[in-house]
Amino acid sequence: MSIIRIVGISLFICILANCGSQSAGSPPATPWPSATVQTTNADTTSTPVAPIVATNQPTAVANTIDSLASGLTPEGYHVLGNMTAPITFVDYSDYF
Amino acid sequence: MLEVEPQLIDTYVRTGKMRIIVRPLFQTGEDSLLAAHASECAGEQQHYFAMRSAIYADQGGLYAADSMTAGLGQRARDIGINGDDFDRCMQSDKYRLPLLTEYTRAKEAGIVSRPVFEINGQRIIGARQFSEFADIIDHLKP
Repeated sequence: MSIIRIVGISLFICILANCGSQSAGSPPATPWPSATVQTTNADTTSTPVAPIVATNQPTAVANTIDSLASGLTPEGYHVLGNMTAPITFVDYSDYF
Repeated sequence: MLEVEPQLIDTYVRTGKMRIIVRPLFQTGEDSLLAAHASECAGEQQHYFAMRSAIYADQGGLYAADSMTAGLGQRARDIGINGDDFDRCMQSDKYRLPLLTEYTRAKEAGIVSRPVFEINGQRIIGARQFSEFADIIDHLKP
């Protein structure tokens, strides 16, 4: 797959996921990047990137989990899932 | 959580019943911090959880790699992240202090081992099977 096509697909995913809401370039003024809740793709029932999954490219992992709503808490912690879900599961864990 | 988390996601997150909040710890030192920093950098491109999953999926390979930074960069590219932007973010080190500050906060809150979980405030120390989490979560469902 050409670079141009990969970039095109990435842009397509970005547009579908409404991912322009989070600043990509500037360091946080406060300890965490944002003091407000940020969400992406809040509709948990939609799977806008499904066509990309079907191509079986290395981005399959990203597409699978990135199709879920995600964002930041007011404290700056990353959240996966519906921000208003009735159950909150906090995972304190190390990567290794 | 490598095997349990996907089950939790499929059963409770995809259905809108639960959200997962991540609070990283760094009890294995610099490599853990680099991995968490990489996830933050991936988050700038809306791929925080994909990067987190990619790191978990290859913990052994990354930990044994000659260069953790290079390994993380490759994983980022593998999941479709813009490598140049990712590398710039990693080189900036801008999330190091916030992550360390958060780790201090967690320790002050009594998180002194890993893993630790909280389900609607109910603290669970140590790894659990999916069925054990499910028992707790299902009793909380409205």
